Amino acid sequence: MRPMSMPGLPVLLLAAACSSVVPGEGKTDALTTDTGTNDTDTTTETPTTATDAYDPGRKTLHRLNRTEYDNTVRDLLGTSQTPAVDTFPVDDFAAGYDNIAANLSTSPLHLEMYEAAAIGLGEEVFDVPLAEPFDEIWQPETDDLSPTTGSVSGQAFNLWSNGSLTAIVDAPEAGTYILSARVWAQQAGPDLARMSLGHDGFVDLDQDVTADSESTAEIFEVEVELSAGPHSVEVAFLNDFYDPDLGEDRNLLVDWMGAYGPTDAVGGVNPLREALVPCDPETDGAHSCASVVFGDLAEKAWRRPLEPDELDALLSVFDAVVDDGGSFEDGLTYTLTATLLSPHFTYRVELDTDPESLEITPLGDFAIASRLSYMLWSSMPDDELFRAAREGELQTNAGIETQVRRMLDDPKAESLVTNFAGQWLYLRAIEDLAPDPTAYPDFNDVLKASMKVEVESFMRTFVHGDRDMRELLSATEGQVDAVLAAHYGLAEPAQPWATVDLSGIERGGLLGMAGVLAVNSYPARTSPVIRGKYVLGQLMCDEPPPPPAGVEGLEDEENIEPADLREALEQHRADPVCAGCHVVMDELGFGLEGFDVVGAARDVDASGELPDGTTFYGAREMSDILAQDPKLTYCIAEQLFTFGLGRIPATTDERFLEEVHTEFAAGGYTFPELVVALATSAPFRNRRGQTDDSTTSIGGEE
Amino acid sequence: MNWSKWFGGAPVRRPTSRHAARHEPVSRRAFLGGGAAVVGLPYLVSLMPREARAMSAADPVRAVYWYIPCGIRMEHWVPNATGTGYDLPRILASLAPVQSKVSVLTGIANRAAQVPVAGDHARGTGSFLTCEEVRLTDGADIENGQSADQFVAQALAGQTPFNSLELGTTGGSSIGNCDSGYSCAYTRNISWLDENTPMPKMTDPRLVFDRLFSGYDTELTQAAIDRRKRWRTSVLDHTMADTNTLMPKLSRSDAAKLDEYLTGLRELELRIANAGDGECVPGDRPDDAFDYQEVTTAMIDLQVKALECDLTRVVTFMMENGGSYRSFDFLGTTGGHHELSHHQGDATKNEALSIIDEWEVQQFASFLEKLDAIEESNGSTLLDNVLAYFSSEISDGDRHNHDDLPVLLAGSGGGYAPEGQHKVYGSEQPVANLYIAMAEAAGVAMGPFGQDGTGPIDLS
Repeated sequence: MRPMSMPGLPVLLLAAACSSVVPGEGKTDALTTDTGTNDTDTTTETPTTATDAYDPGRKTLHRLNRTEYDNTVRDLLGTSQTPAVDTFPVDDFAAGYDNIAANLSTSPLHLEMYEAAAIGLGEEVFDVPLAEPFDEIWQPETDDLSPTTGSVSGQAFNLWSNGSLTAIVDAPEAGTYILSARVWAQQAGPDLARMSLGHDGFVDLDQDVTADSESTAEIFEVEVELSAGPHSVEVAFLNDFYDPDLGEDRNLLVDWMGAYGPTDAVGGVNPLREALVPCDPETDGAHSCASVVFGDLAEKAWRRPLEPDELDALLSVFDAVVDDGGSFEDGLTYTLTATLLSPHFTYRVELDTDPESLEITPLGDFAIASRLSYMLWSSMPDDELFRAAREGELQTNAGIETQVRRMLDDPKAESLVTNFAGQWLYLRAIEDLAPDPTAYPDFNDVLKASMKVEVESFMRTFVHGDRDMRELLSATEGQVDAVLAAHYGLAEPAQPWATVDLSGIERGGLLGMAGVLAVNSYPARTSPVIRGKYVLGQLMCDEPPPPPAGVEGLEDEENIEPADLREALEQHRADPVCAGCHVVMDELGFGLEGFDVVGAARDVDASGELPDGTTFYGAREMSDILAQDPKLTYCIAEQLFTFGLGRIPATTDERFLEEVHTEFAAGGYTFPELVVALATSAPFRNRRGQTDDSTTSIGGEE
Repeated sequence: MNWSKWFGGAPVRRPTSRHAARHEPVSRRAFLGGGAAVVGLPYLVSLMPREARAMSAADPVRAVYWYIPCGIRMEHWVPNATGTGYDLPRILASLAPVQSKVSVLTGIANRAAQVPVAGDHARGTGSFLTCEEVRLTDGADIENGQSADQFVAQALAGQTPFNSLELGTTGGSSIGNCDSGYSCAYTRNISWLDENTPMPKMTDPRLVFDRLFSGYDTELTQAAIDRRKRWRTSVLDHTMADTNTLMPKLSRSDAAKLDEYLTGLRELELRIANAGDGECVPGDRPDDAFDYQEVTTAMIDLQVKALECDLTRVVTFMMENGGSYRSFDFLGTTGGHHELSHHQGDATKNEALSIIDEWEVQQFASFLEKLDAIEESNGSTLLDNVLAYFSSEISDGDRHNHDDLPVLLAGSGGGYAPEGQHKVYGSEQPVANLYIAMAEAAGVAMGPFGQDGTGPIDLS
């Protein structure tokens, strides 16, 4: 989308020369070459049918992306599995975001992985766990056994006179346990050796031992009932025989003792199942219980009330499985699979009143709820949001505002940092940083982690607070830990992530943050072009077009020493084809040249000049100038629009973005005000159908 | 709960010796029974019955397409001699053991990528198998053409459990700026179902193994397998019905999205229907591979196994994405592949590139050797019955040219193509014509293909 018209506002950076450069031949999007500026519509009445002048747009059927899928099953089922990130194919980006409806395609591989994920989730959440059984084999030579007589002999215990060997069982719960022992005897005298196996002083088994060597040893086992808690298990030798004259000696040798159980454990507690299955199939009936489960679960999964026959259709899956020999759990698992494999789960379905009409219709209660929750949480609505939807509260701006402010305070709003800012400001790329180890031997994962914490914490102060968003650039204070303090040449803070004044070291704001500087560098060199492009594209929404034919030689800069880079780029700009864009882009990058690849300070010329002749030196001065440019706040609004609606704004959206921006400004440029303004805007609350005429210019959509 | 059924009816454990005495760990799942031995994955993979193959007398021809990024040092690639017994320049040296079955094709171009704007990596990769010019956008309106592998896959649909297999070694970056205004979809996908729908690739070898083979489970009885198949079919019937009910309520572009869902459901239906009877024994499940070399090797082995078992007849493999920045530290080179490929004639960079190129060809050579070690009918090997293609999105990293491409073609496609020669085309031949030939070898008539494909290339 082209930069918006901003009547009456000074624009520092708009470089007409750059904007006039149109990419070469290729197929280009008609919308992006439309440079017209819309006059503000002065009619007071809201049109009921979309026109070029007034069109709230529409969003294509919106598939959950990987993050949204995982968050949704987390909130729906309480699972900690992340099947989407673990197994689904990566989502494609459009306009820098991975949640753009029109761009999220669904391949056959997706369907296979959806089915597998759903079965895996069902097996987890409906599983009835067995208590972990007690299961022990005691070896006399190594394990702690209490004898009343005898001693260890090789790998066995030799009970050489009447007496016992005792082990302790800690029974996890009451039930049937198997006690066992492997024994043989040194036979002597008229009788076979006799042994007993018992517990707590009772003899449970009493038997002759015929085996007379290790290789023929016998295993004796007995089932006993034990209460929960500690019990003793005893093997005893009952008929000692010793004739010193004949040299005959009868002994009992115990190779090992064992205990296992309970063998009849009843199901333990699966908290996920407890939360989802409020009924008992035995007493309530399997079908009825399943009906209770999915009456609730499917409604939440599909994020709307069920149509009358939808529950029956789901339960027919349950019945089919159970009738076919499946357990209650199998039935639930496959019914959940049907629920999660349904397009009503996979997609955020918003129906048009008339799919073939341009008539503008307000979104339904539940569609608004989902738009809010996926914008603010990258997940499904919670109970309170569903309640608000059910009671029609989301049809008023006040009702939406109440929910937005509540939702921003919820921990799930962290997704605005990780998903929205993570993509908008490239924060996700910090994770992938890999500076050249030869040039930057001190870079390590600890520093990387601190870089990430710094910038994410910074973003959090906007998401949850009432901070003026222009401070993204103009902030003079920041939070550092010892690692970053050392990296920045500051004294170690009193405590980790203490707030410190950064203005004296050319930092403060995004453009002084090591993580941001590092993700906009080559592995071994800084790139004024990349950094300048970041400022223009991500912060001013004025990304220069790709270079025209044959000038990809800009890559040369990867090979140039920092000291020579400025001169090389200035020479490069002698080419008028390049100058248009690079005159702005490069100068912004020069302002950040005081920081190296990993964002540490260095002594390199950081002077720059803007097209209007304004000069600056270094990141601090440059950031303050940029913070005053109205394009910054317009751009923030446009970025949130793109992410929040999951569609790329079109020229027809400019009027709405203007309105959102006006409210954003009136509210002191705080993030919550921006979200409220967007969530109550016409494009957020409405949709329309689509005429059959494929050439219609209506519809900055998709 | 009657525990005895989990132990085959024996009421008590009977360890026979002290060493066997410790119980085998009994997993919770085994305890629950109910055939949950395979978790969350397709069950028993069906394999094309061998009888079917026997009836057709000849082994099926399979088409394999390998992609490598950032071009090749062509001065160490192009043999001096033409015809058979050609010399093997440095980068091709590892092909020696299979040279008699590998052809080097010189003078091949992909004109669709030759557009005078920046973004050659994205464009070259996007059009790698489509030979169509991709739309310059990083927005939602991506547009390409159907890729050659998918043309073949769809023509052969249903003959094998998987119509095609898309594999790679890297998913992609975590943020969305890829190449000069071109969508990341172009740099990440060479396989395109249709002009708007990329076929995403799998990059985790264990996931690929599970998908191909997880059903191979001797623990499950045939009855349990069949029952599970019926349950999955019940689910699928429900989903189909839901989708079909929703479809007419949607507008044009929404319905187009949902149509992708229907396509996927139909494939899933085949997958379920085919599940359950197999005779091809998979190897071991790959270890969790974090190392790039391990991932590559595992992916090669999976391709070999999938082809050997006739699980699919169409495979694409991307060794990295378009314009890859991967560092090959393990080869002793410094710097990312892409930055090195802009070599500016620098000797150090060119040396590093040559080393990387050698390694890439070694991977292909090892793939071919493994194929050649598998015997098929009438004394042929699996390699004889494939046509395996290897190329890059550009030729030279500095020039970003899409002509004079590095192209290898291995195997004979069941006798379709002469093997083991270096063929030099006098005037640049459209790579599309090579794809037409590969399809023809697989028994698929393609007709004109892409921007400039007119008919099968002359391989003789």
